[in-house]
Amino acid sequence: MIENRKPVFHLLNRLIVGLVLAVMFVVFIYPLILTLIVSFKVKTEVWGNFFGLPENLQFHNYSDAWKQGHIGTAFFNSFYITIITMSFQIILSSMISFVIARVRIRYSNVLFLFITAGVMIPIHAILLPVARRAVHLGLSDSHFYLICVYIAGGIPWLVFLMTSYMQSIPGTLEEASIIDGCGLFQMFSRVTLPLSKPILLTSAIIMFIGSYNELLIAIVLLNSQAKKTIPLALSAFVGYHDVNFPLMSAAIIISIIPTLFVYLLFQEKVEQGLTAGAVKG
Amino acid sequence: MRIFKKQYPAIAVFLLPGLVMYGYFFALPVLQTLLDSMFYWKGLSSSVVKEFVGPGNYVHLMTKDPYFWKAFGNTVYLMAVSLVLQVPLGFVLALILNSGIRGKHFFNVAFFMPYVLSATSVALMWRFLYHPEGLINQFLQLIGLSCFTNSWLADPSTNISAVALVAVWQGAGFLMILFLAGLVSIPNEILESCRIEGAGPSQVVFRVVIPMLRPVVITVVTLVMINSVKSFDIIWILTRGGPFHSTEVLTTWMYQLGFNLSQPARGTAVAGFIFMFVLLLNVLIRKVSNKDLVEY
Repeated sequence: MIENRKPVFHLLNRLIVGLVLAVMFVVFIYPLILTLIVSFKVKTEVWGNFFGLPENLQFHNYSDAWKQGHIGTAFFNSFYITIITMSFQIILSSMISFVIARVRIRYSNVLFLFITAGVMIPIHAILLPVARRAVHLGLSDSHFYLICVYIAGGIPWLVFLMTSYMQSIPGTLEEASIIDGCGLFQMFSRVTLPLSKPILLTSAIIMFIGSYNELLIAIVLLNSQAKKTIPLALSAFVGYHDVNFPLMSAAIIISIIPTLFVYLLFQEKVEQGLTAGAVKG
Repeated sequence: MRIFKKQYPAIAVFLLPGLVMYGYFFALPVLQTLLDSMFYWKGLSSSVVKEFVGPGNYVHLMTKDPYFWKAFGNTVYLMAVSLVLQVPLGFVLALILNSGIRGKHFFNVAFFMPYVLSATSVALMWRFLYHPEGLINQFLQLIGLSCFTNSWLADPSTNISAVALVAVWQGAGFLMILFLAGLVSIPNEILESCRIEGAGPSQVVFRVVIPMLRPVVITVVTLVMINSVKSFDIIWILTRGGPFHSTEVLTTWMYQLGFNLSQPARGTAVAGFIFMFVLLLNVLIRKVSNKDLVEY
């Protein structure tokens, strides 16, 4: 009897697992697919033919979103803000981490604690003073100021991640470089940085996703149409009484292409990076 | 080890740019927030005179502010929904993906994908799904449950749950990855020997897997709680804290006070409150997890 029942249970289990998996897959992916479908519809088709496919593909939704929805300007803004932010975050953080991890200086653990304490601090705790200071400095609605705040916000995480990585690099190569007469700069740029490539890539990816998606600080610091980043341009679709859903969907699809691209290209790196701090902390 | 005695100028060149950025744009503003929360003033301009009120702003929030406790309650509600739904969901997904199914990679990507999208775009998508004529209601009508259709984001009895579900949807894949990393570290021999001893799947999960994953569970619970306190984007896009403040959370209320209602002092106090709340959660969890380590 028992011998007989076991395979039946097995089959049942597999059936349940398969069913759960299928339902979950639909729940997680269908919203994205629906958005993609709606982005090709005419406005009247959205409610009239809810579950159906569009009769004709309305590619002009995309060009409309790009121009009328101001996604084009925002896309450009977000892109260059993100690239500059990411580059400076990595340069500044790797220099600090290098000193903490590889150069013996006094109080380096105090320095490490001071910087990485920022990991625990929610961004809300800097918002009001940062906004007020922008007004004082005459830098409201300034990309430069926004980038500075973004860079500062990324340093705690990166120093945390990079320091522990650099500490794990064996020191023999660096010692050899010292004997060969390398200075601090050469040792950093020729030995430590090349050896840290994996963590630099991880850092670049998580900081790219983070700044590209950031909304709250951008809301507070930017206000003119020409300066808006992608999340701001998207949030402008809220509030109209008669939302043009195909246009909005096209804007959403355009806006998620860069992050999806990065994710699909570096899938494991992205997952490791985004969960790295969590597992270690 | 490597000692660079006479290289202090060089070391300064390495440290200063980052430290100045971090200090001026992060550390100082944090201190400023904590200090400012002890003063009262109005408006954003520089010429205002700040009046020292000690804990006055905090007292005002807790005794006179009409929406502070509402916001606090909603924040705790978001936290609770995430703990009750998102954590088990992430765990179950991880269990399934770890059970040696075909197409693991494919499902992994599908479940994690929402997490890399911006909360703004996710919330916009869900605005469409929650629309009175949107997917949820269309689906209910399709399966003959049209009596349950609702204006999900407007109805004060459902809107905060609707908001919470979007957060659950977006973050479940993230928790799944955390759980998966833990599951992989459990050696197969242990699970195998349980099976040989005659333990059923549920016994293996509850008696062996979950206890062994304790550190991961603690990490996940901490993260979920802290992220709930910090969440702003989804709520802001879905409801702006409305209608009539029914979905107000701490972060949106801080924003409203600070930037729309010209009460920056009160807003700063909410920020101070969020800061201390998150810090408290961090310390609490660290204590619990340390105790955990001692037990082992």
